[in-house]
Amino acid sequence: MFKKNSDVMFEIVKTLVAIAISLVISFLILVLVSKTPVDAFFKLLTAPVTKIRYFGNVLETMVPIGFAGLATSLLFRTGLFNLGTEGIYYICGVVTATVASQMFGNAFLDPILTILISSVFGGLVALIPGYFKAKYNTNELVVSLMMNSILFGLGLFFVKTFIRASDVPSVASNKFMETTRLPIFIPGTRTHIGVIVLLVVTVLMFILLFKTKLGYSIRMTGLNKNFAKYSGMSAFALFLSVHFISGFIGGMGSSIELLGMYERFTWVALPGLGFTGALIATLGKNNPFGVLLASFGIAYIRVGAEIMSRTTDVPVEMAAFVEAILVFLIMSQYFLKKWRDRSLLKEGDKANGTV
Amino acid sequence: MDDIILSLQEITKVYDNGVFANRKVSIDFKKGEIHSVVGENGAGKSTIMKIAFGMEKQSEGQIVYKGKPVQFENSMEAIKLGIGMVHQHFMLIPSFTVAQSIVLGNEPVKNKFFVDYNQATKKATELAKKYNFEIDVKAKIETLSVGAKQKVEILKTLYQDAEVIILDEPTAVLTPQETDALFIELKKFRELGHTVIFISHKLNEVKQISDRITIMKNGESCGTYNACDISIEKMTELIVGRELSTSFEDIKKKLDNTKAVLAVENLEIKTTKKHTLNNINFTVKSGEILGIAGVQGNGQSELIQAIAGMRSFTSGSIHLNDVDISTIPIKQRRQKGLAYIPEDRMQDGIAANASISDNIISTYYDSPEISGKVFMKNKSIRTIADNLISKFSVKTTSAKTKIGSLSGGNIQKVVVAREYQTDPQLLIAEQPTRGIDIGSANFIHNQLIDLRNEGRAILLVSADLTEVMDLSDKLIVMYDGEIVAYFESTNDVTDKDLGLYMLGVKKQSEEEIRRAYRV
Amino acid sequence: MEQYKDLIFSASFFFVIIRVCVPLMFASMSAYTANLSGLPNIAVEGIMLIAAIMGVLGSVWTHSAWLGLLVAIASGILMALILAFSAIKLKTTPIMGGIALNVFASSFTVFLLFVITGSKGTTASLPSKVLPTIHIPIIKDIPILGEIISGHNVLAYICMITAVLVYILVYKTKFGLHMRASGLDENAARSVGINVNRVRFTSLILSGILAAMGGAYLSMGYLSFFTANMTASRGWIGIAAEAMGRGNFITVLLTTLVFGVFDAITNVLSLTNLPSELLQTIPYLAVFFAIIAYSIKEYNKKKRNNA
Repeated sequence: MFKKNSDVMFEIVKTLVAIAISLVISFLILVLVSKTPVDAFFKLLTAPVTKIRYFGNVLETMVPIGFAGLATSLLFRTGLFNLGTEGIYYICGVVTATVASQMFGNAFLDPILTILISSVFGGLVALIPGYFKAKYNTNELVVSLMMNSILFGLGLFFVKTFIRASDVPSVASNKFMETTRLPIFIPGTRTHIGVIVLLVVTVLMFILLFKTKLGYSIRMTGLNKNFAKYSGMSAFALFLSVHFISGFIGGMGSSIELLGMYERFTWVALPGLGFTGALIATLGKNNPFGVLLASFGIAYIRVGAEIMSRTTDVPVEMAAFVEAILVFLIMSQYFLKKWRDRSLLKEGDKANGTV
Repeated sequence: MDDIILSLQEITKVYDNGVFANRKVSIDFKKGEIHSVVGENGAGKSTIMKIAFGMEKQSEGQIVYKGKPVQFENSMEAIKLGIGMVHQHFMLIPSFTVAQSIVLGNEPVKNKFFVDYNQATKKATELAKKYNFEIDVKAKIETLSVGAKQKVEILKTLYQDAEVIILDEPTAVLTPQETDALFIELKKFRELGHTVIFISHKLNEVKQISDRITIMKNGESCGTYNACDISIEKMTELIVGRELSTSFEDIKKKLDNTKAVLAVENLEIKTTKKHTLNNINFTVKSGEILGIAGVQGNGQSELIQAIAGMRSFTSGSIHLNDVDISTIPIKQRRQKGLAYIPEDRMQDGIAANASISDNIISTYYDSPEISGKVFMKNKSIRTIADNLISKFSVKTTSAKTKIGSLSGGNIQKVVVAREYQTDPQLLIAEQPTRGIDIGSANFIHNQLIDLRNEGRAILLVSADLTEVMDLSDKLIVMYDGEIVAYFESTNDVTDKDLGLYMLGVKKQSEEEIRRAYRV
Repeated sequence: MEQYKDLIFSASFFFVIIRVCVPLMFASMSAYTANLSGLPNIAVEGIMLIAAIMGVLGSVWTHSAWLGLLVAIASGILMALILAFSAIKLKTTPIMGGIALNVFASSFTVFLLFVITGSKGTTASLPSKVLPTIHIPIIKDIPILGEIISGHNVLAYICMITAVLVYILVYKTKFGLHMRASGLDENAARSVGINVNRVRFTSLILSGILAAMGGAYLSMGYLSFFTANMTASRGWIGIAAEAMGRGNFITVLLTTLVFGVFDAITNVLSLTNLPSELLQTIPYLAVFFAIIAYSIKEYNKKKRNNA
């Protein structure tokens, strides 16, 4: 128990130090590129909590990357390096756009049905790399990346050819039906109930991983594939289920993002949300609640950077520095390890002294 | 004392996790002697040698080589000074040729940057000739036998001009005959002025080959003796502090009404190149331990994997309690009563980063006892885990501890506990006590006998001849993918004969081998 | 149908193959050298992207295309070193490190674009330089062959020479042997005194240089300016080719060539009125099917051997 606490403590300290270091470096970069570095830095850090609308922005931003993080973390946890959530987001966005313009007009049923169709579609698409991985051990990293580009091409073609709106000059789908729109959750912001759904899915994911048989076999397979095989677990069924669930969550995230934040489908490039999901899964150590926390953190930084970019001369992409440094430091096994070893050694000495 | 070439002085090694591997160990090695370092597994022999070879750094103490204190940052520095090491696990790359492997790290070059492969082949050939090693230097490592691979390892150290050659448990993988050949070579090295450091836990070998012997226990040295001054009994006493009991005959129950639990018929594994397994026929009956002896790499692993369902085979059949299990998945084999202690526990037997309780249920996690249709019954799991931990005396504070943080012996106890929990009809025990402490090994040996006495069938594979000979009721010898001998009792064969069968020099007649298949 | 035939069976088509193969070749050589030493570099895409913009900016600052190329290479080395350092010294999983670098690169390049040009689209407004094209004497006058081989960007020829050099490095030199040993079994390599970490650092530097040349080719040869995300998954195609070659350099190169041919077909067909979104998926579909076919082949081979 004692050891467990010190493990958790160590992770917390490590994360805090990593955040501090990335902030210091960010400040140095701001000094280089901005005429008003202090102002910019201050905005980056505090802007999101200055207005309820801004904080709402953080929650909105958190939703799609949170879903993407959960979807990806499930794959990572099983030991699958699949980065296909990006493509799933795109193609499920197209599906959502198609479905959302043809609904019944019932404000309760429409969003649920749209999201469900998109989710199932995402799950089915994810079965493609899943099947080839399970059956032929095909390199899922390469397959999923190729699929991202392929799904993007197909999706964009579909949008342009079949559901393109004639009333707007840019490439966009027809308008979604009003009834498909997700209800606002915090008045005065655009924060929709997707946030609640994200929380629910996070909890469900936790239960799946730590309370169910499937979760047990996911964890064991991820920790040691040979051990899982030796124990009699079928990688084939497992890989298929995991891919389906991951694609399902991805499709859900994409659909919720579009129904909550958009009136039409307007993505003419890959949205980048899936890749961010991989970052978030990594930062959250593939633990559902860790992922939730990481998605909040990244959303906070991105919204801070966004507000900063509106009022200063620094572009929003500034957030990339903070994110990259965070990933490297938090993923590192050796960062702060010496400090920890020394403190463990001291603990050990103390323990020895008293015994 | 100027004939001392290498002197380890008060070496202490503490690992990061606070484990003491060595405590104030001092050993002097003389020029031109064969000096054995003996002790049971975990006594710190390998660690002290890794320190002498620069692979590990000592926490305290110093190394004096040829009268000068030295500090090795890595093994390259030790190699440069003339210390070579043949590791227990060979450090060879399968796709490289013998010549490439020998010169690797110190290649002959032309034009400064390019490897002179002709020169490499020539040098390797000359070296092999000089020391009377018969080996094709152009062959790929993957095509060599274990004994030949070891020769390559020794040639590597000689190529690097090693004056001190450390051999870590070199005979563990050899047949008695190959061991004899190795000893002749070692004596030749001594004549040529090399110092040979021989690490082993096989006392009769040590007694036979050494000039001097250092005994280690619990990370400390118990002194260095002239080989002629110390008896095997005395060594045993120093090493374990008590007499080894090796006979299980008195605790083996006599059982009636036995029947064949496992029946393997005409099993064959054929690859494009050759037969890995051919014409395998045998049965294991209830209430008996069938041992499989053989030099590693003669098809035992493949046979076990085929029975356990870890790999497919070309033809033949496997029956468990008269049910054909040849093609059914691992899970169903287990449900039909098969349990399996795998050879490599870290690779197959556990997930090191998961808790003990996660590891102790893996092979029956979906049995109704501990899981429903969807959810796991965490309470029952906890109870089972706690029970097993106390029943198999696994030393840990809690079932939630990461299994990877336990010692090898305790990890193996968890594996055994798990396999026993399903009350198996057939237990396959592959190298069940490899690399674990003697207390845990004894415990596991007794567990195996208990299971046998309960009327279960046990198939035992071990590279440790003593273990197979002590535990088994019946014995099979495998060579080159075939069964070459079957013995109704381990008393029917001498060590020397066993060696001849293991090497493929002797082979029983077809009828004699057929006896292994008993109905 | 006729029109496509004319497009494809012409000298200019083969010229296009070489043109589109150059960045892919650099990418797969980059992935190959890194992975051979046992430290996979999946940040090829990101390194190419950063080198592409740094090359352009370098040429603007120094008024020299060649110095621009040097700046690009330096940035590639820096990226690769970050990956190597985090993997070797901090023990970050190289896959995760690679993902982080890729995500970073796609934002960072836009960041730079904006800070320097004030727009997030291209550097077309900057007075950047382009590396010269080479017309090979004598060969350029040979009909057909001259049309195909001559008149490429200098980096195309450097790419061909580099391929030969990498082959020699891997199969003939001492360092190459050490790379292979480190990748195949690092403990074995360490036991004979090979400094595996140093081998990997060096391999990663090499990998960074190769990826950087691929990136510089895109913005200073293939096109004459940088556009956001201009690598368009070429780095990933390189990684796919490497995955299919499994340590055999010639196979890696041949696989890349096949992907290049499909890329060239896409290029040529884009002159027709077929929908461009679908055309652009052709090279990825080629990789997709190739890697699946390859894994099925491997699966059957393994099954045959095991059975």
